[in-house]
Amino acid sequence: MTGGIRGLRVVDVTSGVAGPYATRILAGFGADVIKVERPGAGDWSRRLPPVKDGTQHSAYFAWLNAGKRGVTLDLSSQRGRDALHRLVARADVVVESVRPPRKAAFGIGHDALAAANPRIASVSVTNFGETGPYRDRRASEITMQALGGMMARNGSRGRPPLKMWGHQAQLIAGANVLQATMAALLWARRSGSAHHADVAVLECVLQFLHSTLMKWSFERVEVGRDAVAAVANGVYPCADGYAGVIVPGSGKMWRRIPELMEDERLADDRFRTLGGRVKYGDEVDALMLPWIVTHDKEEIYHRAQALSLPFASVRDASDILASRHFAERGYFDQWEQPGIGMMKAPGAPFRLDALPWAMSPAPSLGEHNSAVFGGELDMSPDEVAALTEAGVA
Amino acid sequence: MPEQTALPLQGLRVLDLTTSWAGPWCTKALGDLGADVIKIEAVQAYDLTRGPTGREDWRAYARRGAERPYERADTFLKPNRNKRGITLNLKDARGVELFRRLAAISDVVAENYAPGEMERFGIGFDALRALNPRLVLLRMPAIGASGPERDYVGFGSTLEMLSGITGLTGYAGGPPMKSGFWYGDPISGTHAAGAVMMALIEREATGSGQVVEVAQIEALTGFAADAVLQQSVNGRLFERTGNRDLVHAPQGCYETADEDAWIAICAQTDAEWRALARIIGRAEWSDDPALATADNRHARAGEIDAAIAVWACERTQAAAERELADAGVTAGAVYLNRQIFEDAHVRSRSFFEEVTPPVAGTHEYPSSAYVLDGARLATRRPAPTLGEHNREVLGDLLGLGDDAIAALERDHVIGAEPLVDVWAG
Repeated sequence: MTGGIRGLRVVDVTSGVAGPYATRILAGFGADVIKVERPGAGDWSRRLPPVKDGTQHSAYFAWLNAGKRGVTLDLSSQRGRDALHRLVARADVVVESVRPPRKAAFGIGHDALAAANPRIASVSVTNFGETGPYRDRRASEITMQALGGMMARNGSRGRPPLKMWGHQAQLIAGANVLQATMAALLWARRSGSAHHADVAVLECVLQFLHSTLMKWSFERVEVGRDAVAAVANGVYPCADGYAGVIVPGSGKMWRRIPELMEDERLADDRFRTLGGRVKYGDEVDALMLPWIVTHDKEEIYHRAQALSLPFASVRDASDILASRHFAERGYFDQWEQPGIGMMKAPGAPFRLDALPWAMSPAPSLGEHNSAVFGGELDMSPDEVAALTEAGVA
Repeated sequence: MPEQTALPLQGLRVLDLTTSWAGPWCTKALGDLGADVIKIEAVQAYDLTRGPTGREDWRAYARRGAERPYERADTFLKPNRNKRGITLNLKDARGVELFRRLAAISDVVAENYAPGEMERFGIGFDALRALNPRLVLLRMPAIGASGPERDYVGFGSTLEMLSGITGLTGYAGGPPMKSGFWYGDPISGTHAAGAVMMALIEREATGSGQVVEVAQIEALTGFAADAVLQQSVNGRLFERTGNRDLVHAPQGCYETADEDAWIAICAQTDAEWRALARIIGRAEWSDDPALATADNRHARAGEIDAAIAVWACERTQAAAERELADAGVTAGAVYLNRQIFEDAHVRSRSFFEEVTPPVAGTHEYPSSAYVLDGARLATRRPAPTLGEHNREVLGDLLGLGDDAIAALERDHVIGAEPLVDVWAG
């Protein structure tokens, strides 16, 4: 008899964004995720913005690690590794992001984990993967977006290539970590043996850009910056911000534009096709702009969508939090996070109709040492205290 | 790297009604993992990534060659590998009946129609569940299957705008900028494959399938969670910062001596900053207590950026990258497609593979995003041609004889040639 996601035992030795993003989803659907951090410093993402004003508490860390239990273990010590392997022995899944040069010394290589548990599903997430000449190379979000080909396609010609907001490369990898974890787990369950996934952030980003890579492979074409800027296919300034005005292709959509923008001159036959609109771009823009700049972004979004036009509001966080659609769907999670207060944040990335999603606070550093080492590993309070005293936990 | 011999999803069958990118991206992942994915198109309407369906637009695609252009589109060939392909006209009762028979012997049905469309075909999820309670049913509406905006149309680029990501991407002081690629689609597709496997694991425990809903906007908005939290926790909005980071400084993208060849640099630690100051010829900065912390350096970012830019523009991209690496400073070239294909690391991990679909010929394709048990998830079969496996699937799986298949072909319930006007010359 195998268990489902609820109660699935996950040992999470990841830090930063990619790994914690994946295990956050497992925790939200009811897995028992035990987050293992270094004693003292903890996960470096405990300092990632946004930090609650007047405190040292990162709200982003709290979002990435909500619903997990937290323990500390020094994996450079034998006692720390022993405790880790005892946790692994009773787990279904290990996800780790230890830098490759340290893996063996930390006892976190797949062979060591499989020795501790011959049916373990283990997943590594590192910037460049577990093999290859860049294996030990330093990286940060911007260099992953650069090497992964994202930056060359973003921004304006004549200005520097542009990084996308936030931690997109790491989050892309995080979605792949979730997928790889489920694949390794299903495989371990079906085969009765240990399996391992090696997830490289770089390759996850390259996968996402398959369309431009394929353009090169098929046509030897570089897709540069501004490649997508075209008439009626981009971001336009409007009355209270910006709106996405998108009319794809040469189909029937354009015929609804004169009605939406209240100007019959837009019905000119020359503008009917995508090619025509690009050719007469200045004229088209001049006819569209008076309507766009006199309307608010949300109004543009809803009025265009009422005509089945795929326009968008370029939303900021306050627009998102005020969305009636999200409210009605119960999208946001809310919980009281110690040190921060009420957290209202994006919830489940997807829904399963027979598997509820719920969030609870992220752990403080080593919050569950006693519960996990005592409750799961049968250590006495004295043994736990000795571990803490020795700096192992 | 060696080739996979066994795969995690072997023996599972996926019926794939999805089109475009998000859905096929999900089912490709399931196919890569060994599932028998049966992609369902129609001769009346094929997957739109095969290319436009009107004569006029095809002129722009002429360089793909005159014969069967819909079998040559790179946009279709990559996301549909490791699938079999059949055609079924679901507006014909016989098409629906064949779909129902396939659903009865499948594990997953995936669709990304507008809400309500499956019901109109008579294959709504309630009906399918009654037919096969072990089915996992994946739906991928752009904005969600419920809520006031459920009928709205969303594309990768518009979802990116709604998610908050576009609003914060852009040069400081400039307008928001959307990404130069379809960002929303692969994000929801990647999540969806994980979600389907989650439902398959649940099925092992409960014996029942369930409905998985991936509202693309909800997966994507999580990628701007940091921005949402700044507002909900601190009552303020983040602003566009271009290439600068909120923590590390300096960080930026600098042009090298080669034309339009740039390098991204990020001093992740104070030690990296000191090393960077030395190699750009500003040794005095490395010991300057007024620049010792990232906070100090943020305040003087313009001045520091200018000094790095002067240094960078005097060396080639490759030389700059090497010097920074030797000094222990985090940096990476802004790679163009050609550089990605040539990169020694990427090649050493067998990220690209040669694939030869029957009409399009041989090209290099990106392979799977991750490695399982030391091996890439390779292309076991290229993307199917339209209706390529009609006989195999309807004959072998459902036991239809030659006469029955010929009758279906005659009535265009199935077929291998599009009925749409794709290439009248």
